[in-house]
Amino acid sequence: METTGGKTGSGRTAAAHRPGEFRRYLKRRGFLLYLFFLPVALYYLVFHYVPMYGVIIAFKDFSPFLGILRSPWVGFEHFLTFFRSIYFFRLLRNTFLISFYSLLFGFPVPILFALLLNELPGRRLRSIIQSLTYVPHFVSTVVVAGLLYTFLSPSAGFVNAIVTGLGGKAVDFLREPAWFRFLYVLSGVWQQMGWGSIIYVAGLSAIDVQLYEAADMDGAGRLRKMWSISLPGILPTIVTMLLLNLGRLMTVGFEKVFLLYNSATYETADVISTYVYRSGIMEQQYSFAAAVGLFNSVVTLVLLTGFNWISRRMSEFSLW
Amino acid sequence: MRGKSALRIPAVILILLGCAALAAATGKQEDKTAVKGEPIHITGWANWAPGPVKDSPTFGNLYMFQVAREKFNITIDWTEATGSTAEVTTQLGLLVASGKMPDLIERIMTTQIGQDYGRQGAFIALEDLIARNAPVLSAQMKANPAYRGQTVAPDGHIYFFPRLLEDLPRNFNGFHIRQDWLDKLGLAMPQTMDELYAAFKAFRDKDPNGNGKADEIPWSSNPYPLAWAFGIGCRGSNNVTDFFVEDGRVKFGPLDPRYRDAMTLLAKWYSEKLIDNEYLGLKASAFDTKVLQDQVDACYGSYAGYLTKYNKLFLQDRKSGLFVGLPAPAGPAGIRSNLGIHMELDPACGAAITVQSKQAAAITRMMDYFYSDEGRRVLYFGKEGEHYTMQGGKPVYTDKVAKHETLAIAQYLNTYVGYISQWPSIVPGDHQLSLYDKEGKEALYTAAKTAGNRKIPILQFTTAEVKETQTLSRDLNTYIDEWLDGFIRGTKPLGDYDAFLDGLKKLNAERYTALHQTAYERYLKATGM
Repeated sequence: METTGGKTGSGRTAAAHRPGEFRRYLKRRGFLLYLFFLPVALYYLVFHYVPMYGVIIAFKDFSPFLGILRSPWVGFEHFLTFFRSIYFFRLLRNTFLISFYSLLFGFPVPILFALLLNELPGRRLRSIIQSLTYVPHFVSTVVVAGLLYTFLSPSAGFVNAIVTGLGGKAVDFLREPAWFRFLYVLSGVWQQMGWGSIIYVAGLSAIDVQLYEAADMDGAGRLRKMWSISLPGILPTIVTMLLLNLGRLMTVGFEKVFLLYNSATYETADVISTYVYRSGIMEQQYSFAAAVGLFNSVVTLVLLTGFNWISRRMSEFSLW
Repeated sequence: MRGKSALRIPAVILILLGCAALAAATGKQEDKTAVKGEPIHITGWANWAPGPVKDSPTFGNLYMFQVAREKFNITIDWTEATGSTAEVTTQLGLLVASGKMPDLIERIMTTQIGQDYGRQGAFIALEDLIARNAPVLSAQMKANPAYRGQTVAPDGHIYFFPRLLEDLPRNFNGFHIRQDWLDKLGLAMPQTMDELYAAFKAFRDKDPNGNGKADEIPWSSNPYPLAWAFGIGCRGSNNVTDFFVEDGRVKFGPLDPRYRDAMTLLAKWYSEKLIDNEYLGLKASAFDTKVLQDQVDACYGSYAGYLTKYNKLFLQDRKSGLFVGLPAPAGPAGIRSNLGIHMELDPACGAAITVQSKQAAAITRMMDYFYSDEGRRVLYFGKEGEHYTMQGGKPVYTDKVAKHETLAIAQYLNTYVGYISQWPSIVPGDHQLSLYDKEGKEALYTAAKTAGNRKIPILQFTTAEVKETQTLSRDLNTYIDEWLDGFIRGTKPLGDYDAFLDGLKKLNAERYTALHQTAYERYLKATGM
């Protein structure tokens, strides 16, 4: 056990000269690293893997009084009642489409934003703009929903004041099914654009400056450099992020939909999680809620595995 | 009108007090024998959180438990559970499943859960204990069949001490209208839907707020309570189902032909802008703004949370602007109906004694005390001289309680005196009245007279029935939500009404109704009718 930094430093220089001790040093270092990893592994084991046995309540009639193990088995009954619901396909469609549009429009924007930021001269300006665009990320969903309701109100909102001022007819944005996905995605892009760009900005700053200098000498313009140096430089990050996001395709944030929807927009807004909330948890229907959640996870797993397979075939990138 | 009601109420209270006093007198002999006995220590589990003040006592140090200690020699060691209702419900499930239960469970979360756990063997069946040790509760159950009918489980046992309500507190929720604007436009208080229609049109066109703009919204808040005048059941404020009771049977609102008439009327009012076109998804803060900007003429809500609150705010800023209670308007058949009231039983409360307790008789005696007039005084008013004083034969809260700098009356009582929000008792009218301003008190009396008796009682289902109703209600609730708002807002034409009915049949609304009818028949049997 070396206690001071000075000793460690001298140990290392000494070790470098004698191969046997160096190997032992590395081993010790490896052991230390695993020690650091231990809490994370424990966390996943205790909080994510052990509770998984609880999903068996999806196949049981769970009663808290009997407990998870003693509740009676019912097989796929809860799944079947969900599949038989007249709203099953609508829920599936809405859940998929809301996430799909969020991804389609929400994913490229932070990349473009990061590329543009990268072109800005001067560190100060760049960091000011970056900080400003982070701010919406820290605004709670409840407040965002409140803002939308206030701004978009047909009688008192400023958006409709502009619409009618320009001679248009006031639109009840939040009570028209056709507008829901647009508003959901747009407010999401506004909220997450700056925050989502951080990882790309970091990736861009890691690109070797010599590459740009070489391109300059070859006479490449800004767009050329962006296309041939910046983008390929962050391509691994982009693909990883894309795959991770695809894995979340079937998980729509419950809270935001719940705050923004109403019975007039169920048609386009009602997603699996809100349906379960309305019908399950409120009346302690834990088994039904678990069955629907498990179904959702299975769909996600299939999607993620599929996209990963495609990505591996088509490019050299994959999650595993 | 006002004079009449003012005369009637003391009489009602006197009769109620008389009943309670009589019952309390018989209960007292039992008390004395209890005090002589050994000190009793029991454990309890309660859903209670300390008040938002620095010196909030623990649950066991509330004034009511000091009295229980003196009178019954019972000391309770409480475990307090806090969190959202769903979280505490889960905690209760885990507690029951653990097999290590305390003697007393203060809140069974819902009466359905209470009797479920009772039938599964976690809680003691109380009917014999109540008959022997709870003279006040026994007498009350005998005198009020509705108290008994809603408390008895499908197997005929009683598994929890119910939280019951007197008539006045039941009518906490109702219709409001701006009296100053009725006066300004020379209109009498509307009594029927036709008169309400005329008044609403006048509100819309005659600029009662006098700002020169046509910004008045005759009816804001959810319009569903207006459908009740047709005699049917329809979801709405404090009314989650579409069921109603008529001619001794349970009926399902959407399957009733009058539902169509109600939808036709609401659609008309909506299209004529008599109903707020932004009622759907209206946030409470947006509604507050509309009310305080003098735009709302009438609405539905609780007399404490709406009427009294807004009147106080009005009077802070200016001299005018007063809501009064609007009697439930009579519909085309002359029916007045308010389905947003509470039933005689609070379905979210109730206390149970677990099978592991050895002190069931002593606990029952203590529980009974808080149903008695004396016990209710302790629970809802505290200690004479400290928390209340008698003025003209009625208890009035002292400034310590009524004018606390941060806590409202109910909060103060929950924090220091008695757990009025949940403890099994009979919610007394004189306490409820203390929460209102003058207009609120009058509104309560008016509401009590015009509520009708169409609201379906709290029904207790068997486990199999619960499962079936839950499965059926999942799609039905979404379906009715969509059509109901669609009809009112005109996005679903009334010409499609038959398609709506077909859908209801496909979703088995008839079976859903039959299940409720079965439970209702059990209720009738339990009331002894």
